[in-house]
Amino acid sequence: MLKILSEAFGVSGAEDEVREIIKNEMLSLCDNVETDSMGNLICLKKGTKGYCNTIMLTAHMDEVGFIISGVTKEGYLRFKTVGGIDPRVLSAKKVIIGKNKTVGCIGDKPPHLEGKKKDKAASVKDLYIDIGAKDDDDALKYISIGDFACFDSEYKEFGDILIKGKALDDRIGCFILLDLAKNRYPHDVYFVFTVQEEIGCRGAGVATYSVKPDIAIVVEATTCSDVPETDEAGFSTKLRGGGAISILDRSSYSAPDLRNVLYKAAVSNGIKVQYKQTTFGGNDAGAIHLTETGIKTAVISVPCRYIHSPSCVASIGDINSVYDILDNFLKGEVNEAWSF
Amino acid sequence: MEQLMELCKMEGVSGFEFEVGNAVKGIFEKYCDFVEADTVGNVIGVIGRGRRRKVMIEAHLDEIGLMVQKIDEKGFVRFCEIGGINPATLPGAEVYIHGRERIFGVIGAKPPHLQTKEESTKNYKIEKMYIDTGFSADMLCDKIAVGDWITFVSKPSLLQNNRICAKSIDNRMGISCLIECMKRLKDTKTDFETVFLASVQEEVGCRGAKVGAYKIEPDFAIVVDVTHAETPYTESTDTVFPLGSGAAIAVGPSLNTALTQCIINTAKKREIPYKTEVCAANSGTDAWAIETTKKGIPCALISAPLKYMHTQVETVCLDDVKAVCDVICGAIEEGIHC
Amino acid sequence: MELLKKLTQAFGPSGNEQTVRDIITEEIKGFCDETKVDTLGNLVVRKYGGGKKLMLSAHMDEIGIIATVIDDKNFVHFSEIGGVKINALHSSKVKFIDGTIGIIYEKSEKPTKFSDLYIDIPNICKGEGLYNISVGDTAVMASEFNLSGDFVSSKALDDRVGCYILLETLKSITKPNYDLYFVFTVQEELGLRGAKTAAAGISPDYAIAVDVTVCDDIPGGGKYPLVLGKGPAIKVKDGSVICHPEIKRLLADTAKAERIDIQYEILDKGGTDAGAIHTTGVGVATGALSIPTRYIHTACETASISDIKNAVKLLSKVCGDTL
Repeated sequence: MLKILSEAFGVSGAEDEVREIIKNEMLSLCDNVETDSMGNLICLKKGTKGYCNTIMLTAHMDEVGFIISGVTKEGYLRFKTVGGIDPRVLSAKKVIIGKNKTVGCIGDKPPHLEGKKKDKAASVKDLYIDIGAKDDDDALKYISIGDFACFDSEYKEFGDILIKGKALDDRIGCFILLDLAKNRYPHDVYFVFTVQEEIGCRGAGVATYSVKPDIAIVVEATTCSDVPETDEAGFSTKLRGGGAISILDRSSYSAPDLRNVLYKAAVSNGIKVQYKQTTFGGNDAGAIHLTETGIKTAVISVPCRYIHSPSCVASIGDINSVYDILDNFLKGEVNEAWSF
Repeated sequence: MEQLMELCKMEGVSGFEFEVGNAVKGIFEKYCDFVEADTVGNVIGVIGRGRRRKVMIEAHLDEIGLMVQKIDEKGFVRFCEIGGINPATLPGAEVYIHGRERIFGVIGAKPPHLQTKEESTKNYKIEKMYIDTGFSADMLCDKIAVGDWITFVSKPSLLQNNRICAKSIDNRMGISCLIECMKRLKDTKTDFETVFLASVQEEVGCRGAKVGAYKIEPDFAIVVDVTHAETPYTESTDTVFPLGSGAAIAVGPSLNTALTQCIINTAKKREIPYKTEVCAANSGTDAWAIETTKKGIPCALISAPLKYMHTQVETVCLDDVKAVCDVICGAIEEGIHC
Repeated sequence: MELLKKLTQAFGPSGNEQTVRDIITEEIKGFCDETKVDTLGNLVVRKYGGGKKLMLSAHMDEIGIIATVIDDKNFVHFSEIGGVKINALHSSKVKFIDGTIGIIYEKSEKPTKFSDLYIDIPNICKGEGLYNISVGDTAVMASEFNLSGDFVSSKALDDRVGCYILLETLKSITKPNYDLYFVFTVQEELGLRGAKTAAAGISPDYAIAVDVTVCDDIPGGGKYPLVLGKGPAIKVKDGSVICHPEIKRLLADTAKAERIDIQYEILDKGGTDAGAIHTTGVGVATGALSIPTRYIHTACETASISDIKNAVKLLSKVCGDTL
């Protein structure tokens, strides 16, 4: 399932394919499944007890990618990035474009011809997608201006035991939600799959306005920089360190009581857990916690190296850890364990 | 054309739209069944109240401008910008300061022959420029005060090939489209309750549209604004359109695909000239704010290409403005099936 | 000024406003009809009155730092909370909630980012013992409260001075002109967050945010015309709001009638709670009253007592009949 999700096409604003996959699964698992006007998928699984709180779990369906903005006379495609992509990862990568899934490559200069400019980082303006077209008219037979494109990257398991693929941010979250939806919990749980996170957390706020939950937990993939050339103070998270609970980032300050309950759910059940130890980045929690009169919100993430590249890397152990923490949390009796 | 020129002559910087708002309200009243102004100064007009579906057509009322920040002891007025302004366009510009009375002034800066060589190669900075009103500080302080708003003086002109050059075509062009659409839809039988929103404070962050959309809560919204036109100053990699190439219909992650497709289909069917404008992120228009209101409002964005945006010589082609109106009215007449 | 001292010395970085909220809750006893703490932690204090709803807001939080990593030698690495200036932190002291003092120094010469600095807590003992700092703990700048003539210097005048003004205003009102909401907000320094949800809960007709603003009457300054001690400032605009003409007029007319000196504030950048409030729901007619303050976001923010007192007088007259 994770392979299917990772390889599915779902650039921000064009999440249809991912939504269809998830919806097909959810229809048999949930009591009510709806798509709202922006494309968020909102699934309700009723609780076994009436008195409990409404809990909303969210993961975003969209991934970073590209949008075709023009065609040169020679038939190369100009593009813009959708969401935050470092242009330095683009050189010599393959992409998939539009409904027809046209394959293209982003070329670059051979080292022989580079000359003195090779230290200078490329900007997106200098890069083109080559689909093999003869000229502009030929190119427009296969693609249209405004078509979305994503990285072409196969899902793989490797090493001890890691996974690699595009869009692990945040198909991992979608995957965990799908798995959790197989269980029934005491509380009403809304499983919400959001759109347009990568261009400014736009779907989540709208979905929260409809759901009006008591609490919300965002399930994400987050930066993991436990790699060479980095200080430990900048690691953020460690691969294989377990689910990472956020304290503070650019978009939200997690509700301390909710954050602590999650942490305890891990520790008391012997599940690996860590805090995210930088304050960089933001996610759907930013939009969610400020919806109308405010929502108690926390964030738990799977550490992910090389995020926003065609080769995101994550650990199966960490994915299981996030699942286990949430599963234990959801099994809990709200009224007893929580101070709110 | 006269309508657009009249609208461009009106004055209303972001946050100070009361005069232009009142004037526009007066025009709306001629064509709408119901017109109101809300708390923040948005003007809302309605045609066909209570019909099955609600569509909102939106354009912003405000224009960029300046504000009095300080009046020095000699009577020179220091100012700051409201909305984005290229300081290079300011030296020598004529302005009105809207205080207790409307005061004329010109923008000056340190004379070139007194500048160092290094200074003379750079653009003037906004904080180094000033407005000269010809009054002494004492006389001036009776007429204007810190916090007063400032507009550019620029009489609308007709250029060759149906092009108009004026200040604040961004976005009085949009307001003129709203009025044109009202005229056409007033007596047309459609499925829609059509709400026209002339919103305030777009240039400082889409603030009016946000609260306007919250109040109106339409099923769809169509936003009318301007986009960049091709000029010798734009690069080949910029997303720009030659004047006269028709309506620019925006596509991108933050715009509703089905609604946009429906509008493109209308353009194709009715042979209205259009181009596709790619917005990879924030479109920088009210559409960005409107779409995420409440439970989400599907949004489309239709623009007319505009040269020299945010200057006193903004230039638009009337054929493009007509195309924008045609495609909006066309889509509504055909019922927006999406 | 004992109350102002108590408020400014209290510990309250964004997201950790509990201590400040407790002080305020204690102060308002007997002066209000209803209090409520909302989901994010805003304290909403209501004083019944007829007619339209007027919301006054001041934020409880202050800037600070948050511990992100404690290394194996027990040095603390951290990120900023709110718009902290690197120079203002470097070689200074910070205080954690339990009173633990930390010394901030540089890892590399000419630090440009917070990761170039660290905190040294000489007695730290990871996990147990007297000083117990963990990841996620927050600290604020350590500073004395100084009164000298008409001037007051302290950390966190931004915006405890606003809290102080709201409290004194609340205490002085005998007969409200409006249905009054005194709102003490959270997380302003992180992006006007508390005010947004508070305003959504209240749906006021009018709002006035009370905060500090840049006072630039110092060597090398002069861009903005405000002067310390020349009166509170009626905000015209900043990066987050262009104030509603009705509220500006209300404040200016009241000041004129009461013979209170006022100034006008225009900022290019920065924001206050007014920014979040005025675009809430269908829109709120919003203005702001600011206390000109030198050295904002440092340990020695400096303001004028007479400006503060005049702000209380002005707001009280706006809100209703007073003692």
